[in-house]
Amino acid sequence: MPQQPFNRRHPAAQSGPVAEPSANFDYVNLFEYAPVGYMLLNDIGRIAKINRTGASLLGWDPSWLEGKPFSRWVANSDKQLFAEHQRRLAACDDDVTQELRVKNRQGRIATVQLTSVRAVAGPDGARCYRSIMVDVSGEQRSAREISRLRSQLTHATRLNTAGELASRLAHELNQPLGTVVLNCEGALRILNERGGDDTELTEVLQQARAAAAFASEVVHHLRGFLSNGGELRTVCDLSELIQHVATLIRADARDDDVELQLDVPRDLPDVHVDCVQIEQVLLNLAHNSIEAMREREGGLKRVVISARQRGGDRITVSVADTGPGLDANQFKRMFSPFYTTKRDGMGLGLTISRSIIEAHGGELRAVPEARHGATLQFTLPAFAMGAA
Amino acid sequence: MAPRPVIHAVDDDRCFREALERTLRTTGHCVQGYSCASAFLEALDPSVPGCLITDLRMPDMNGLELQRTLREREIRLAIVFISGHGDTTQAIAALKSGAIDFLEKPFGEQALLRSVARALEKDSADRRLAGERALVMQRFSNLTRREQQIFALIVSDLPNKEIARQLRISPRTVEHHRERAMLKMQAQSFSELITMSVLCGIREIHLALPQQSPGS
Repeated sequence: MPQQPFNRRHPAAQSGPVAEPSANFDYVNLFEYAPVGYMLLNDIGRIAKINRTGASLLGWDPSWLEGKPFSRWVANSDKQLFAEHQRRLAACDDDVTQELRVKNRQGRIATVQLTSVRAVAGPDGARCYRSIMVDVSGEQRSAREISRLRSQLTHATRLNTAGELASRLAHELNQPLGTVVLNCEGALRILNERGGDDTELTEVLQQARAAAAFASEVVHHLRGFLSNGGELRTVCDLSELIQHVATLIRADARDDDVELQLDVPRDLPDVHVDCVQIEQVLLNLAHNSIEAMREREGGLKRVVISARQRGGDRITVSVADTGPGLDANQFKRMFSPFYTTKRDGMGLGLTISRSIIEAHGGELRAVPEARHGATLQFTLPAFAMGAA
Repeated sequence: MAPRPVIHAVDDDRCFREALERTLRTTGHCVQGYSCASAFLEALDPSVPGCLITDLRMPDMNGLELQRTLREREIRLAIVFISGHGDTTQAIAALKSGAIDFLEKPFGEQALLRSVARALEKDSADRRLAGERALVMQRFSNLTRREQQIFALIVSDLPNKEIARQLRISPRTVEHHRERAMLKMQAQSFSELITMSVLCGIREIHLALPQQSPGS
């Protein structure tokens, strides 16, 4: 609703309907049933006169309301605002507008826009205020509704576009990945047939193959994630998962002259997880460890990934390194978003890793007072038959 | 000796097609690659045994359309479909209309070789069956009308006497036609004659399959 021009210096406002409501029957009706509430408040905020529209906003008869303080209908939390409104009015000659929540007779809260101006009431010269009350609850509701729908739409569009993008990406990437996998396997077979006993070459090819398969899984997963908005949880063998991650980082470890050691019992209970996500967490932790030791000259460089069953229902996985360790500041801030000690890091790896682990019902933390280097540890609930 | 089976590989991605060809060639297969469905259809000699590996998505004709075209031309080539992303609906459609397998990229050699072996096996079984059927049909067409009639009746387990009654001829004459039919069909035994009748569609087989025991 457009805001009403309201100025006491305007002649119509000065000799308006409030002053002489009964002078003309038409004017009375105009006053009483105007689309907005009109109200005359005396200098201490009591209602001197109120039209029907205004009175019905408060849920009472106009005559009953006369003489009552308007603040009685102002919601408790907004009483302060109303007092401020009056103070501002007393201090200036212009109209003052304030949004207030009022509580009607039935206890329903409505938001009104109260526009008031100081006026002279009558021959005695007592000060009073004219106010217009406009119910803006509806507008507020629709504004809220519009913003809710808009955000839903934005979300849906984003998901849709992302889903489509991921689908195309999956198709485009699986072509070359398919080529890599077939070629690696072919090369391995030919190498084997020719009796070449080249373990180095065999390992190179096996790793390339595993990496391509992993990339395809990530793509596949991304696609599933974006088109369904969910994750793909399956029951899987954690020790196998760790072995798989070890295959993927072994080459990096060797390049950095880091010894990679696994301490993972074969008989760990199964976990019900999104394998790709957990693999990403482990990869992230292991890469952090390898990078932390990069600057180290000489001395032992080792990453140990270990897993243990704790109690009946939890498994703890630790990634420990022999790097410089964590100082108090790093220890405190390492999980905060955008905190990084790497020159080209985003500072999101650990934040995302933690939220992944927490979404799986586990915890990710740094072990305090690790003896050498840093140890990061996460827990996962063991999969119980019938619980998933 | 039958010609060596040819594996036809259709994929518009050159690198992938070459990897596919290399894998099959170096595992002792005879491979022919094509960049699109129409090139394959143009070059195909249906009399040569083999199978087809094709991508589901291609620029000129998708895999399912290619499958339909082959069926319309009455070419029964066993097909293995491959796809860049698991499009479940297409995969189901492909398998329903008789594809041997559906491989999702990236797949390993073992999966590929297993599918190809199955496809070639199916092709050779199809061809053997088609050859036998053609032979049987040709022998059947050499029978006289009477012999064909009697052939149809004896394989439906009717005794000579009953056949004689139905055709209003003597049991001896039935016996005579029966011997002629066996001879012309080159059947060594009565059971072989029955097999032939199934092959040329005179008799349908209704097998009473044993009930599966629960849990098996």
